[in-house]
Amino acid sequence: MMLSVKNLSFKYKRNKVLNNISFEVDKKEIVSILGPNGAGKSTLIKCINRILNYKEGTIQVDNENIRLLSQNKIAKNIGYVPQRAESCKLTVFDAILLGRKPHIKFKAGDKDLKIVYSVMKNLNLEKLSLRYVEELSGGEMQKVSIARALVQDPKIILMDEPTNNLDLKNQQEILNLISDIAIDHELAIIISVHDINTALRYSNKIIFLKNGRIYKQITPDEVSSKIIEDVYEVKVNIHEFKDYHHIIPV
Amino acid sequence: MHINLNEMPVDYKKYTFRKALFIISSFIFLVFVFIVSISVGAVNISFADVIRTLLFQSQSKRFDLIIWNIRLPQALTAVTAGAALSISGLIMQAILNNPLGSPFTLGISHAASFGAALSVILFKTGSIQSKGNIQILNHYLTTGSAFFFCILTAFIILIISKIKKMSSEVMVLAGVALGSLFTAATMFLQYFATDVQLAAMVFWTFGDTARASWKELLIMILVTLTALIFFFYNSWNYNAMQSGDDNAKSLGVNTELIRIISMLAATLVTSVVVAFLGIIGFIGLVCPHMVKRIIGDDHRYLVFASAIAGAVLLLSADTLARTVLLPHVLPVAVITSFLGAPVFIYLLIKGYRK
Ligand SMILES: Nc1ncnc2c1ncn2[C@@H]1O[C@H](COP(=O)(O)OP(=O)(O)O)[C@@H](O)[C@H]1O
Ligand SMILES: [Mg+2]
Repeated sequence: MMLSVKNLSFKYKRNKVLNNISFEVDKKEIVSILGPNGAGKSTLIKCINRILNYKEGTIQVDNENIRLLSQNKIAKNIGYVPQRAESCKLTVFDAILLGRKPHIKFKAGDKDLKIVYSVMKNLNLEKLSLRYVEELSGGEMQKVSIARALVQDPKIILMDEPTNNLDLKNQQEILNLISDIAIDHELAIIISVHDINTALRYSNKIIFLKNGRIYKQITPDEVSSKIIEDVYEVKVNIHEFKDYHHIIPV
Repeated sequence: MHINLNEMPVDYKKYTFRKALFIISSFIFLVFVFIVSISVGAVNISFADVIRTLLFQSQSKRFDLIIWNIRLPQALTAVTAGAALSISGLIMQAILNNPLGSPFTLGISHAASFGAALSVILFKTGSIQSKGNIQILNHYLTTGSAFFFCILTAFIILIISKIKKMSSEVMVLAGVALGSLFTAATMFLQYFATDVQLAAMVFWTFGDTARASWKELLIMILVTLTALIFFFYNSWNYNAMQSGDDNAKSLGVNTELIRIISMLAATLVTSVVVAFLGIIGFIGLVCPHMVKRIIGDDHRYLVFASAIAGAVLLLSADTLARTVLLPHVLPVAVITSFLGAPVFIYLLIKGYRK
């Protein structure tokens, strides 16, 4: 297994946010984390690369316990795409080049520049290369964050609501990109999403979080209206169309 | 998706080359200002004579005396202090992720000034010279005391910013409050001061570059150079921290450690400068901003560019302060405040928003 999380619990000061979470992700797999606002999706994602320092449970990446790894070593293994990237006056090229940081001792070499350039071209970002990040649209910014995670050359990528604030075309583009890189680069990808239909369409596994616990882990074809109603407390119908399930609120 | 390692990003290479060129040309400009600064004053000395004298080709006894004993140390002091204050401001802005951070706006300069004044009262580390200048008798005790109060202030700022993510405005207000607190404490000390000590208090409230002896200058240069190298070495970390702590951590940066060590280093540099020269405001705020306008937030270039900009600005202000009201000489802090305050207000009104 590329990633295995066992009995993970986490609390901010006093309020317990994650309670006894266990799941596994293999390479080439996309796992979606779903749940209502405040369920603990972002918190779970941040525990996986130890942005948050969890006390209980174990997380293993490629059979190594990440508690025993340095922050830099973790960064070589896990890329992270935040829910909202903060803008700054770095050029797009430099912002993506930051993804090479865990691999660079002090000075970025020609190889690093070439990797960045190639990934930028793949994501159609090369025209923005010398623009400042603060001048980008939400979709462009999201692509920059994804490009940064890719040049990190990790085994796992974590994405916190990667399609939020994106228009339909950009959503489509980003999601197809995610599917492609999972296969091509043999990555394990964990994304948190709000749109259930997106999760059903693009992921291999879905984890429903409710009040900090895993309510259910399913594959997309195991979805039932009961699960959705229990997690989100709304009534829904399920339709099947072109091999995929679609959830429609009543 | 396929990663292809054949193509070099030519445009980006050109772009970084332009930035390097900017730094080199501003350094050349600094050298020019340096020579001008040494040549002007009550006695004007030609550029040629300045350069020859600096290259150990004595032109006249009088010029030797003026240049080696007065103007050169003062110009070097301005360059060092300007660079020191500017990089301190730059780093405080970076680690607090707040564009209004600087030793002066955060009240750290005032804390240093209070610490130095306190050591004069408590440990009698200052004495008055025949010219009326204050001479620092024990450098380590004076800077040590300045450093102690700086650290205290720096930690208060760090703790407040940790508890509550401060907006820029709140941070500046906290800085103003801390600054006034230390100014008031300095005034309180005046009640217990002798005439000599009283003169020392005024000494630290108006920074002046004419005060440093060669020994003090040497200490300042050493500390500043060390900090410069340290900050440059960490420039990738500061870049990563521009996009938020979570992002920086995910890129392998130990944000807590970097933040504390960098704050300590920036504070040490500030306290040495303030202990020897007094408070010189606004350099740390204004210079990094000027440079960021031109080359963006990339600390790989910002560290050196800010140091040069700080040096140029303080050296120019110093030259102006020495010559504008001849035969009277103003403390340089008066000039930097006249220049800096309007820029600060301008930044408050519009320019700084992220
Ligand atoms: N830094 C924090 N300090 C304290 N509580 C937090 C912090 N961040 C999030 N929380 C709380 O933890 C819970 C889960 O938050 P989060 O993981 O962001 O949920 P989600 O991403 O699923 O919307 C919420 O109740 C939230 O209020
Ligand atoms: Mg969230």
